[in-house]
Amino acid sequence: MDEFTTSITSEKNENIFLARIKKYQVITFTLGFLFFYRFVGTLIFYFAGKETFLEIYNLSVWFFIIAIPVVYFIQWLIATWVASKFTSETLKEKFYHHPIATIIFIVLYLADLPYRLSGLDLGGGLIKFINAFEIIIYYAFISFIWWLLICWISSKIWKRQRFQWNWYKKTIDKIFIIIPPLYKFILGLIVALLLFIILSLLITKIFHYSGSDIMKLFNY
Amino acid sequence: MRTIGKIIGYLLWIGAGILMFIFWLMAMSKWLGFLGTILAFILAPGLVIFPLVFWIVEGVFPTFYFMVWGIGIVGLIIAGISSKDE
Repeated sequence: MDEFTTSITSEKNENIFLARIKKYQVITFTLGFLFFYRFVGTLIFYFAGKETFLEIYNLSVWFFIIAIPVVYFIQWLIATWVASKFTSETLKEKFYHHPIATIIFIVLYLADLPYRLSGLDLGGGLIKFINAFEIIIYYAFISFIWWLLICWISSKIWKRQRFQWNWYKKTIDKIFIIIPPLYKFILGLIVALLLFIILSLLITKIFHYSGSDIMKLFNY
Repeated sequence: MRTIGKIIGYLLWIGAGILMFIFWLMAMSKWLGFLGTILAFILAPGLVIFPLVFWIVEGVFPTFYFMVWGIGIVGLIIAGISSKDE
């Protein structure tokens, strides 16, 4: 009987996770990509003998192997849980109802973001691009959570909506149209560039490519 | 996910195509000068002819050309798989 109950529970749990993965594909893909980049990237750097944050903070590699998947899994659970609370329409309604909080948070986010980015060592090249993308995403998510809290507090204080501007409504509509494809394009571009570099490195290693044809072409 | 898959696939394909064209353009302009540059825009490199000519003329196999071509095919496969789900 216990076995039967366990099998039903595990099947139900699996279905919940699969359903979440299928429903929130963009969130899953984003966090999956960031996890892959952080996990595999750090392991390659570690075994290549290059300095990683493990040496900087005196952390064990086993701690990293266990902690990073757990941290990213928890992040995925939180992100999908928050996403499950809203549909696109209910979220838009929330934006319509809280124009002052929205404007203040957007201004604060945009004003503070350069300082957040400049305060960290982002590396160079594509790594810099991916690290900056990760910070922008995390900071946007944290700002969104704070914005939800402020909206909730303000809805408790003021029962009725005080401000209603047409230009604001139109801007929110435009943002809701522009942001999803723009986000997908940027994420796709980053993944495509990383894939291009990984494939080039793999082919170069497998076929012992020295770049002699390029050197000949450019007369080196 | 399908959209992102298509974006990744097509970007790889287009990126590879641009790099292959730059390779073709550079080779043509090196061999024929200004006329080669114009001809590079008019003519198509062909699947095997241009790499073969490059190999004969320069004496080096154009590995880069095939490498980028392969990456482009990978991109096309990704885009194809992403489109199939629809």
